Amino acid sequence: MTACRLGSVPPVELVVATSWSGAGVETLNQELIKIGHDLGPVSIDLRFLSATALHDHLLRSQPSRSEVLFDLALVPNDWLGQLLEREVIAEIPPAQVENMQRRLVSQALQAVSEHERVLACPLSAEVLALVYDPQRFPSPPGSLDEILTSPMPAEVLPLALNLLSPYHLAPFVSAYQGSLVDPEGNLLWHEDNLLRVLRHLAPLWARAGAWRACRGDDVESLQLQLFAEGKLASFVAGPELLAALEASGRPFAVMPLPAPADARHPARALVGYQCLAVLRESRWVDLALEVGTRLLDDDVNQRLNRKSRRLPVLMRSYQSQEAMASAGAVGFLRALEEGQLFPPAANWGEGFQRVADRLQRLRRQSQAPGPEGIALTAAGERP
Amino acid sequence: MKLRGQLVLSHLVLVLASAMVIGAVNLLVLLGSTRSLERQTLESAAESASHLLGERIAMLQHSRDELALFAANSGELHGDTETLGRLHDLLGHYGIERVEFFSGFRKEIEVYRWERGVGAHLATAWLPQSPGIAAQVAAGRSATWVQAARDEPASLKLCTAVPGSGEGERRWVVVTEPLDSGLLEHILPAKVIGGLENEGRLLAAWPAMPAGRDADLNQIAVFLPRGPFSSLFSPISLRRDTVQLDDGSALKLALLASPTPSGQSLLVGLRTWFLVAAGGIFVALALGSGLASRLLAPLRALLEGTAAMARGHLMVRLPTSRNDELGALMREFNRMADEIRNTYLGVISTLAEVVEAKSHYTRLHIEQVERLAMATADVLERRGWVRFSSHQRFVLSVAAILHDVGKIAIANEILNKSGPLETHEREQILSHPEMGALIVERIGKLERAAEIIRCAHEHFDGSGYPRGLKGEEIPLESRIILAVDAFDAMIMDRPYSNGRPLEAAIAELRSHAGHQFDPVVIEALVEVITVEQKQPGGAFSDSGMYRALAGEPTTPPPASRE
Repeated sequence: MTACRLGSVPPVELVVATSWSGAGVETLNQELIKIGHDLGPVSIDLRFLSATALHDHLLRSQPSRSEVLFDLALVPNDWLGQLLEREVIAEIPPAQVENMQRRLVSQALQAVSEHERVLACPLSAEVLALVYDPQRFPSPPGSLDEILTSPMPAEVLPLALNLLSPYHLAPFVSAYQGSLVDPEGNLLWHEDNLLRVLRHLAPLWARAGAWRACRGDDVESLQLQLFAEGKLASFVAGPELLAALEASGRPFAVMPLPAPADARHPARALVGYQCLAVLRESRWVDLALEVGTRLLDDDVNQRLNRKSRRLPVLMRSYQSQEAMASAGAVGFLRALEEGQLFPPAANWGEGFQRVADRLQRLRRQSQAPGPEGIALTAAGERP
Repeated sequence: MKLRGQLVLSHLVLVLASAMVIGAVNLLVLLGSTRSLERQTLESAAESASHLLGERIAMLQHSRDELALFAANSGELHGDTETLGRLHDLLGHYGIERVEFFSGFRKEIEVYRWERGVGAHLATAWLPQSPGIAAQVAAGRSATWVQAARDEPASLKLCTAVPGSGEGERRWVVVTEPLDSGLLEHILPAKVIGGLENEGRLLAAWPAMPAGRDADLNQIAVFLPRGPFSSLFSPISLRRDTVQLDDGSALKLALLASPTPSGQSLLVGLRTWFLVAAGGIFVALALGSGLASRLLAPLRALLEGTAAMARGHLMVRLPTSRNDELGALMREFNRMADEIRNTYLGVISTLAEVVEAKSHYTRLHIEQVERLAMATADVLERRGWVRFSSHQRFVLSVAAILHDVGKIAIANEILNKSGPLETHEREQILSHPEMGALIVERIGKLERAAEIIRCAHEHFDGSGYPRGLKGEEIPLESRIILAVDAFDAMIMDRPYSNGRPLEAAIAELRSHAGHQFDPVVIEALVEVITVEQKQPGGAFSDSGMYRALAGEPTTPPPASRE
């Protein structure tokens, strides 16, 4: 019909890709809908992909302009370097950067900046900390050794972590070697330090089920259940588990990860940021940037992080103590404060990915290695 | 309101009414098709969501059977880390949120994933509320039902029984799927929001479950995408049974779709409507104005012709090129004008004959005066000094013919007296212009001719009669008649004397130019005489009315409105 041709102005549709799930994605979707309403007739769709699929899509494909599937992507900041290198994402314009400088904690801005270029809008912070049972540890453990050597009933594991994740091992590795980043932004990951960590943890695996509790498809759920049932005294977790911990009914406390007793440095956890990057090929780059800016509005960002139990990035959240609403959150904030920021550099991301791929080999080992098999295990071979 | 306004307005009303009808029909068709499309889209979304939900439930049933097999092969389940680890692997593999194993009423083990199935977030009571399902479960048959206690989040329970360790003992495996926004988020297509209902109760909604016990799906309509005018339309809703549960109820998918396309269609329709109306108004104004001009031009000519006729412009003729009723009307007008003019001309003719009979003048003199006057007027016109309308030419003709009509009121003895006139006789003679004017005035509509006749004996220097006007105070036509009358008198042969030669007459005229005569008129007259001398009849106007009145052939005056 003629009338149809007359209405040729295409509706504005933005697609945001994310690997968030649960309360996070629900809250994010609600906020995006509100922003879409505020922006006028703008439809903002949230597309869920697994982290691997999102990573593959953004980094391994070279979509042409006509095949652009997403306008924005919610990604960890360590992807930004690679995304920039492959010209996938657009930089944040100076006017918005100024606004971010006024309102964000400096670390958040640093996490998304490379050579004074700001690559994305940081929405929330991520850090790992030690969740422990205060009934098992009346006072916060001072070292990894103290956790591992604490007297525990046989059915109770003193500690669990995810051996397949370099994020879980990195704080302990860095406790032996100091920084994990060289001046060029490369990952510093000495295998002998990893070996020292694994050897340090070896007594843990002597306990029944410990090896199983430290590796698996859904190790977070297993650790949480073990903790909730009193079968685990402590484990390494992120703030997104706070809601589940609170719902479990089990008392818990959170503190920064303690270092091994023989380490010379503190076990500084890696601090990452979830950030919204605007894809360069988006048809609506300005609008997409505006969406990113609006997700940093005080109320929006606080709501988003409060409901998804993520750590805030706004100075206001810290000044108003909004971020410290619960005891658990305070523990994670301390870990954030003491943690080490990894750079959004392409070489860092690639190095970290190589370590992660190597650690995946541990998945195949169903039996815990003995002390003599640690080296082979660390090398990804069957002892 | 004037006729033009009425015509334009009627066109405008007609076109606007058409535009309204076209626009309304277009809008209705557009809205109807858009609403239909919205419904079809929602039905497709429901189809897709039903399919995905069906697949999910099939996956849950499969995982339940797998877990039953696990239970059957594992003996009594203890919550050791190895067992929990293996079960978590299974849960992770199938994406199950919670599974519970019961031996009788004793819970052997419970496994849950942290994201959705933890603690108080999920209905943990597993025994079916429906007695029928409870009996089915107790009998060891597989069953699927919704566990939706008022005060806790709803979940879908899939239960099956496996043989227990003892004789006749049974163990049950209960898989729990939270019926929450997370499930809906995975099965609903983009831009569609909705919920899951069971027995009229809203169990879950995406993107958010409304607060309150009597939560209504319409409460989440605020999350629908908005667009222009979309608030004018209610969201399209659709309910579809997706899963038949063992208690006889159904898990119903309730979907809402944004009326944004309808709003956009309305916008497009209104835009079209506006364009059609604007185009229509333009066309109506152009057509109405054009038609009005075409209709009104002859009417206005008729009006002006009638008014001119009323003012005595007897030479009025209207164009008769049209073949329609207006053309016929104009032809009728011309015929009427001709008849009126002929009536006048009849009267003038009669008077002219009376003058002929009364004075010495021959008919030739009257004819000559008229012809010379008209020829002089032509020369004046040609020289650009003056422009005569057809009416003015008619009036000049009439005045030239009747310039001495006043003499019929003077006694023949005085008029024909050859000796000197007495004072009273002279006064009578001097009064004849006034008398002539009065006679012509009484004919009606010839006031201008009467005035010309009244002044036809006034001299350029003010020495004439009856009022002693001078120069431009004397009508031009009067100055022309005075000159040509004098000239013709000079050259006319009389019974008692011969007329003067032309050269002498011209010299005489020139000698009185500026005194008795208007020099401009004299020069024009001299040109007429000179041309006539070289080419007899060539200089005279061929529109001599008097010759026409006398029945001699003439060329009719050109058609003109005035």
